[in-house]
Amino acid sequence: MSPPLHHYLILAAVLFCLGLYGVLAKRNAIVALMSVELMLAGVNLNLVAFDRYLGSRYLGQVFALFTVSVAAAEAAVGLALVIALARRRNSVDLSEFTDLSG
Amino acid sequence: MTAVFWFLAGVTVLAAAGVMALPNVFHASLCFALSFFALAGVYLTLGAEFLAAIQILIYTGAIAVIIAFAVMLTPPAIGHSNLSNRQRLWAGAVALLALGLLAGGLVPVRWPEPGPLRATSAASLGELMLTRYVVPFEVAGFILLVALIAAITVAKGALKP
Repeated sequence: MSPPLHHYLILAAVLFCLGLYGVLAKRNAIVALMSVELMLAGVNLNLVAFDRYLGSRYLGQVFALFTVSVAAAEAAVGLALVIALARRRNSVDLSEFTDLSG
Repeated sequence: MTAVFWFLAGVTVLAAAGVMALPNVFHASLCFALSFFALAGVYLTLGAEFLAAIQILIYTGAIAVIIAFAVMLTPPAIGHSNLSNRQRLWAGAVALLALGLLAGGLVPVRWPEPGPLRATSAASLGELMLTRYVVPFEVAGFILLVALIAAITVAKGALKP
């Protein structure tokens, strides 16, 4: 007996909101990146759960695979930016990078 | 199946909360890996074994490792501490509000029952990726190549003035 669909959707929503909190509140750029990955994971879980429960012929799983590859690209570029920042400004504290705020 | 789901969901959420709460960023990155490992188990309860394998390979295998490397390469003063900014309360309120709205919208709906578990998804997924979804597949490969070149260029410091 598998759990009903909304259990999966709530789990995905909890992951998404934890990631949202981290993106808004964390000062370390690496933690902010991890939070973005958590939000993407929540979205992915939604796709897979809908694929299983609405019988969509693997469309959701194919979409989730593309999301994973885009998330991998995003993590690579994001961490490269963090390392470039750490090298140039000797810090990864997001609250110090306010050059563009008017 | 339901008990397995609750266990894995609990581990996923607790580890994700650990990413937010642990004071040391290196411990937070280990929690990140654990959270995605448990999420791969949740995919298994949904009958998506290929995605579960991909999840473990890419997230706990690759992304968690480069995050751990990034933590070790950044300066220790702030780099190793998991601080919050002044918007902490607002951020918590926004996240809780979003969760409340999502849950309030999701729970009352009558969702359909799941169909029978399909035998295996890997073979069908591979076939679909090379027939119907071949163009997005090639585009995804191209995006990964571009991201790889960009990551090397940026991290190497070629953009220095």
